[in-house]
Amino acid sequence: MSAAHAEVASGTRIKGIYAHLDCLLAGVEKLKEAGISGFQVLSPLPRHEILEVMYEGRPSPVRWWTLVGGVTGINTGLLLTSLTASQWPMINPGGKPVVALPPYAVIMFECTILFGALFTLAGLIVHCGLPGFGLDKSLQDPRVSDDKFGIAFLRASAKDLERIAAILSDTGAIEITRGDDTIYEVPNA
Amino acid sequence: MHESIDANRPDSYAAANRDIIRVLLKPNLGWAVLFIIATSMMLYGFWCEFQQLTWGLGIAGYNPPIMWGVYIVTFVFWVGIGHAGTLISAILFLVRSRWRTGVYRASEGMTVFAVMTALLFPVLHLGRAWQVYWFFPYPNQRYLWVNFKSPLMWDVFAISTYFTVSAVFFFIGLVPDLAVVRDHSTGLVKKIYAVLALGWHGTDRQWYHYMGAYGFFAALAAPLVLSVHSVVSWDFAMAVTAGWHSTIFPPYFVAGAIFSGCAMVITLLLPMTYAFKWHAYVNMWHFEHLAKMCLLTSGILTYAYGVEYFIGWYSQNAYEWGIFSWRATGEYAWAFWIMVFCNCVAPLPWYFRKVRTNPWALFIISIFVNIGMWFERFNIVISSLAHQFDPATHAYYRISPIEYGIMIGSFGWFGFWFLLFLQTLPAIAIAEIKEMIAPPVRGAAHVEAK
Amino acid sequence: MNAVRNNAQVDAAIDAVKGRQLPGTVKALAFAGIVWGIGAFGYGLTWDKKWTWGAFLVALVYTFAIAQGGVAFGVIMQGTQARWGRPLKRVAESFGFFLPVAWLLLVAFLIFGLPIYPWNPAYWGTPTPIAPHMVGAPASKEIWLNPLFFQVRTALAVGFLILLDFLFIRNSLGGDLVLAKQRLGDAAPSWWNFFIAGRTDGKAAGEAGLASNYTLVPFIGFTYAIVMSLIAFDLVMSLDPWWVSNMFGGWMFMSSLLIGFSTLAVFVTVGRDWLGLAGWVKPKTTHDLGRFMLAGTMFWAYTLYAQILPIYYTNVPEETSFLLTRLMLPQWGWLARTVAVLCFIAPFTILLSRGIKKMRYPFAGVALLSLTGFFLERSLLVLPSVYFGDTFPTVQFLVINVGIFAGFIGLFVLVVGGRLAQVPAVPVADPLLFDHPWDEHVHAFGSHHGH
Repeated sequence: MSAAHAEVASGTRIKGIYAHLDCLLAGVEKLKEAGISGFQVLSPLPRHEILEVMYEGRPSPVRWWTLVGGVTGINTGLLLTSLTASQWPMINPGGKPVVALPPYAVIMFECTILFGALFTLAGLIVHCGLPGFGLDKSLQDPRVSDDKFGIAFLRASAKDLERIAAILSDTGAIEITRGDDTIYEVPNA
Repeated sequence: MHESIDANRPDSYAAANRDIIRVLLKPNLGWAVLFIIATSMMLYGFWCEFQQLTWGLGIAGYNPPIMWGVYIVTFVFWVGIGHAGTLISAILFLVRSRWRTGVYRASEGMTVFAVMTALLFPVLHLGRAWQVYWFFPYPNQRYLWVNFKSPLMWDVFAISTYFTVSAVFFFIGLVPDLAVVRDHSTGLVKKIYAVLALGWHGTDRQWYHYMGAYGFFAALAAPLVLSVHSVVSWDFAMAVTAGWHSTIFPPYFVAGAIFSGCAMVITLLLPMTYAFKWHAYVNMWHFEHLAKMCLLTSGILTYAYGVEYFIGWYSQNAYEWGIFSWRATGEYAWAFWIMVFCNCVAPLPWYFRKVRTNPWALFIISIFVNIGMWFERFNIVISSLAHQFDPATHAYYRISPIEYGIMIGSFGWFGFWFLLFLQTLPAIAIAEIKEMIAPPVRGAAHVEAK
Repeated sequence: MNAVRNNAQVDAAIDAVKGRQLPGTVKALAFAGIVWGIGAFGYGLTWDKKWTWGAFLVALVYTFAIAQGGVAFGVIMQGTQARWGRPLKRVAESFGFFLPVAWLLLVAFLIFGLPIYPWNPAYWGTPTPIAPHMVGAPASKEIWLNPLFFQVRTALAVGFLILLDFLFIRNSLGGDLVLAKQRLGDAAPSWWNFFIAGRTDGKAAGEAGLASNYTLVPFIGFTYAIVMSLIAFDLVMSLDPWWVSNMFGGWMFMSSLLIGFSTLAVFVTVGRDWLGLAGWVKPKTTHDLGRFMLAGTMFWAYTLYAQILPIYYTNVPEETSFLLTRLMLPQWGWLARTVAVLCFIAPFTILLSRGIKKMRYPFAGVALLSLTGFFLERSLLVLPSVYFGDTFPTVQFLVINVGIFAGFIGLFVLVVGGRLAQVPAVPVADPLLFDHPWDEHVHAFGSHHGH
């Protein structure tokens, strides 16, 4: 795509594409130093440097989903087995107590894992915003699943726009686009 | 010691995309031949099952007291095969083993398909397959309720949990890679992969939660993988049957499962690596590690066999010692010695680096291991039933042609899915391969050891 | 891009050896423990010989597990080529210096303590008959539980394992000491010469040592499994000659690893400043060690459950008696519940926390909690087989058992600490001590971190 095309539409969206990880990190750091926020970093892989600069070591809240799922699961396992067994106390093969924890522990364990995993999946979907078919165009770029990195603003305030563009270009972005009418070629096709 | 670890490091992000996606949706002759063979085996299995549904379990060679036959043996075999994938993808993820990266996707796929295969067998074993829904606890008008104290019910929970969790884990791992395929394709194919990739665009928010969740999936899958084969082993250990009632069964079964699973990964991945020319991503470095894993688990199995015999002898229990001495010398001694040779002796040459880096040696020994592990389950299931407390009930079980057919069909069913997988999904985890590649940087001075 | 070998840090680790000694308070405490132990043992023999030798057996099996578990940590690091635990490897392997002492104590037990076994004709009480009582049963117990055979094979098997361990430690430590000697010259302790064996090139010696250890790993691993199982089956399980559990050996050798790892955690956190480990053992190192302990805790519970469940389920009298005694009788049941809390519930719950594994003293605290639990667990295995009273002798337990245990721990600290003081606290000649070349960190372009 041509640079001219990118300059035509000026809007609140702006995106810089980077070919190098250190340049990208420089861009992110400069933006943070300038007090500009509200952008997303695009990358083909999870590099710990990006996650560190963006989230400063805070663990993802998905872990609470796992915990709630696990607790729900173990209780489900316990209640499912013991409450139903108490409803049919006559049916008691093997001569074990009606509510016998050693054998029920197996069911409780499996339910813990099952619910833990399913809740984690739900948490992942919620927090990642999946399925993200409606994601803003500026966050979509086929090169980012290949070997490029990017910084994208969904809604940059108009007064910051020029500063952002300057920072992106100073830190070595190989392409800067504004607006949401960009059309990408498919690489390697 | 390995000479140069950097020799195993692939080139660039773009090259990884290109090399791994290159093989998708391009069936060639070799693939087509394998696919036709697998499908025919599967259809033959279907036909045999049809016969069994028509005529009943009688044609399956079941006769009192041997009411657990090849279906249970093969069930345990496939559940075991399904263990390596989660071991490699979850446990090795938690201990941060680097060699896992190249092989984990294919082994995870193998896990999911192996568990899908294993899930067939309880149904086949039922005879009245249409009543399989009786397994599941839900309020019903039959006045029936499952018995949660039964190991068979634990098995229902364990295997279905395992299937669900490993399928979720498999799919979540695939999402970023499906986005790669989406971005490299056009038309209808692109649309399909776009749906499968769930709109993944590699934003920092997505990666952040993804990495958090992935760690938890791994942390949940790791104990799960131990529990599943433990529960399978308890199908046996909970019975008062000499040779089955044993406290060492759970870890012994788990070790055996990992052993057979890793061997199966070698069997499947080695030809694939050559066919797809994936040497930059999967090479002897990976196979060596798999072979070492087999060597370790083979040692655990040998230990467990030894302990079982020792305790059988030491316990001074006539029935216990009776079954163990009979296994090695009685009518089923051939199965026993096949097991001992394949599981304890055959992998030993892998101790030598020369052997475990030789593709032919790797492949042939891995086949031996697969055979040996099938016979291990045969040896456990059949011999204990054929030689119970009352000598009047001693019997000999022969595998019927229908059972052979269904067993062959199970391999066809597994192959069918695995071959489809190779054509449609990236069999190497692209995003994780990229994590091993040196990131592109403009100033070399900005990289340092962590 | 390769990991930079920080020579100043290595040199500091070597220089720290000069004049380093076990701190006076630790020494005093260790001696106090030994004195208490000897006194407790003497008093114990006058109170109840079986109980006292049982306490001796518990302490012996326990400290042997620490020493062996430490070496096993080194073996695992070597076999898996893992880097995270390298800074801990030297401390872990130094536990092995206690092994010869443990062997002597074992021989003493085999000679003098054997009458606590009811199958022994010289039993202090009425011996349990061990002849077969079933048609067709092999007369195995009369062979296997023959006192002389028992003594000889235990001493030889354990001795063989210790020899292998020493080969391993010598290979591993040799390179370090050659390297350290290059720097320290005559200031090096003279006992190093046994390990140096005339070599002068530290780097070459280190690599050669690691290479030969790499081939040793499978042999040590397999021997460890067999000998530790033998200890479990013979020394502990045969206290109840008719009870068997296949899992018992594996269960004990895996928990021995956990005991070793937990002791390692205590050593490297509490002794961090003394050993100059602050720059090596970072929060992420203890985090990883903590994860191993968490896995070990779960594995212990899993293999215990694997024994309890089938026995509970099938309810065969010859199997249940062992469990019923320990879980249901009032004098032992409380101990079993304490063990469940200290060995599994508490450490499992606490170690799930990511933060605590990175904190120095809290982490040591969890390790100590688990170590206490395992002392009680080993006691629970042994004591109900040597003492048949209706009540738990609390005072005697606190005086005799804790005392003998303190004596063993004091001896362990003296022997291991004394050696550890005189060697570099990290494996300085080990190339894997440094970060993996792929573990790179990219800094922002134009920043000043890069050099």
